[in-house]
Amino acid sequence: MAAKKKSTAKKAAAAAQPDKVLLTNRSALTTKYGAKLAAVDKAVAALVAADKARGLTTVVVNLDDAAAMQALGGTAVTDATDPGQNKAAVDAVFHAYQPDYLVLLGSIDVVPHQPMRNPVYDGANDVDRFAPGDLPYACNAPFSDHASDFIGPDRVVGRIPDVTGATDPAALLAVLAVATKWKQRTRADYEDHLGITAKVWQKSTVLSLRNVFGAADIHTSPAEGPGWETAMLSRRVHFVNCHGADSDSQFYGQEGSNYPVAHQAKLVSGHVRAGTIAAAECCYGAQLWAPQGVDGQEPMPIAYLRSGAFGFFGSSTIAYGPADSNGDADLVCQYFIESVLNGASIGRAALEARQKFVRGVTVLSPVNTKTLAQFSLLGDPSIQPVPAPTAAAGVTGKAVRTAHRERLLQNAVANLRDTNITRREDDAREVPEVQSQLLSDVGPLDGAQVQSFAVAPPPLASILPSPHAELDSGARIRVVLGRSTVPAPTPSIVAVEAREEDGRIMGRRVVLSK
Amino acid sequence: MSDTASDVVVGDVVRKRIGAGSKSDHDAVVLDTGRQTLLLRRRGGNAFADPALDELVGRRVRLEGTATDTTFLIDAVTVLDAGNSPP
Repeated sequence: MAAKKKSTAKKAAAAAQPDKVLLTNRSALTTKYGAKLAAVDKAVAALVAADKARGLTTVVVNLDDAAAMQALGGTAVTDATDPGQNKAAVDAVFHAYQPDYLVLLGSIDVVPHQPMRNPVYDGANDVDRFAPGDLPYACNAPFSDHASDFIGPDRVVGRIPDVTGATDPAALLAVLAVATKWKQRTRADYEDHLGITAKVWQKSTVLSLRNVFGAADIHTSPAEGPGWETAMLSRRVHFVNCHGADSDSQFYGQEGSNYPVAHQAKLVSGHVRAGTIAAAECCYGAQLWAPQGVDGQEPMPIAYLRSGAFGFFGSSTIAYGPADSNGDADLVCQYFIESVLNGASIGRAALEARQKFVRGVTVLSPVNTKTLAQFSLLGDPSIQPVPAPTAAAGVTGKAVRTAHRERLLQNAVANLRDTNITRREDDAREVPEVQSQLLSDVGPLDGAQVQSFAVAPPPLASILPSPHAELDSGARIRVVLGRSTVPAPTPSIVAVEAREEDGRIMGRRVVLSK
Repeated sequence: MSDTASDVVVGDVVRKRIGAGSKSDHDAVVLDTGRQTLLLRRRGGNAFADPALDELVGRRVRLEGTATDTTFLIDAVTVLDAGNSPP
């Protein structure tokens, strides 16, 4: 009888088929806001109504609501901080509703990031034990703390964040208001960009912006910033390639050993133009730390979103990319902006960026894997800043969205079939000749630590043969993180990723120090 | 992370390259407590270059502030010279 009720309820839920689902934890929100939660409820209701006017059916699901979760064939979250419970609950909701958009409502103390182990953590150079993010919520794979289990995202997911640890919902209300009132603009409105770069990474940033816009209008730190002119902050695309730090509301430039402040959340707040989209390559650029107990300043993405920005795409932890070319963080960020400018919703743009990043390699290296894990979208994923080039203005209709989903699902399957992953080998035999080759023309590195990773078959290899299986079988990836001993005005190469086969280095990728 | 009482740590201040190859790659001032290494930053200060922290390199210190997963945000510093011991 109970099983029949559950099945009936699931069928009813499926029949409802909302386009968008807002997922939150009411108990966690109540703990934060108490009686002020009524204002949040009102704001959410306004968002749902606005979506309806735009042709989107939106429902709200409280992941801690036992009855609601049971009706959807899931189990309620009883511990808001438990990532496994949250992942299972989100998956259950997705399977029941199959929405076009999944929205996590609240910060990481309401619906947590998923903790993926950082494959290149070594405690000395890369100090991030985990690369937390929302990538797993975009994947069908069940809960795991291995980032390489989540290389096949196929769901459009974004997070409308509030402030971690807040007791006043003002920021959340502001961000919800943006999601409620957003207006689509033309492609021309997004032609101007603000490119902020650390001077040492100027070449890389120029490449990124030329790839997206055909031209690069960059501003380097030093000597520019952090007090950007209103005219510059008013440009609707912000691309930031600077340093960032743990629990820090500032981004930094660099020239030699000079690290001036390049961008500050407090100077952004209230000055960003409505409709701005931002992509930040910076370490910790999208980290949602609690301002209280740190420096009282809100995280950069909150400053952007509450000021009217539609979306902020950034990293939760230490990010990677070369100084003079494009790789890792450079790629995912420019892919995100590209997709938005081609008419994707910001949520679809984030998914397409992830998929394109994975598609670009046959072996997702450890640094690639961390990159995939650490970048998340903050902002309502259903916001579509500009229409597709060949489409009429307005939100993409259901039929076209369905076609996109089918394509995106095929992309995900292809990535899961074709992309080899890596698994850390703690007991790998060290081969001095290999280490010597790794560091040839790089020079000795202080504190160098070699990590070894076996190349493993793609996740779907047992079901769908990979065309690259033989090519990559038996290969190993060696990663060296260390400090250059060569005096230089700017840091030189200190990170090397190399492919080893039968004790020989077959190819090497040098990630220039950022 | 405590939002009322301060965190307190004691250790040796050293300079160390961290984030090698990443976008955080730099020579950082860190605290070696013997059990862990924490990046140091004055609350509200520059995370990458702070002359005030440079002066502490080589000293043994007691710090009050806030600890995150990787970083210690400093509110107060007590230099523990040779012969002194923490209270």
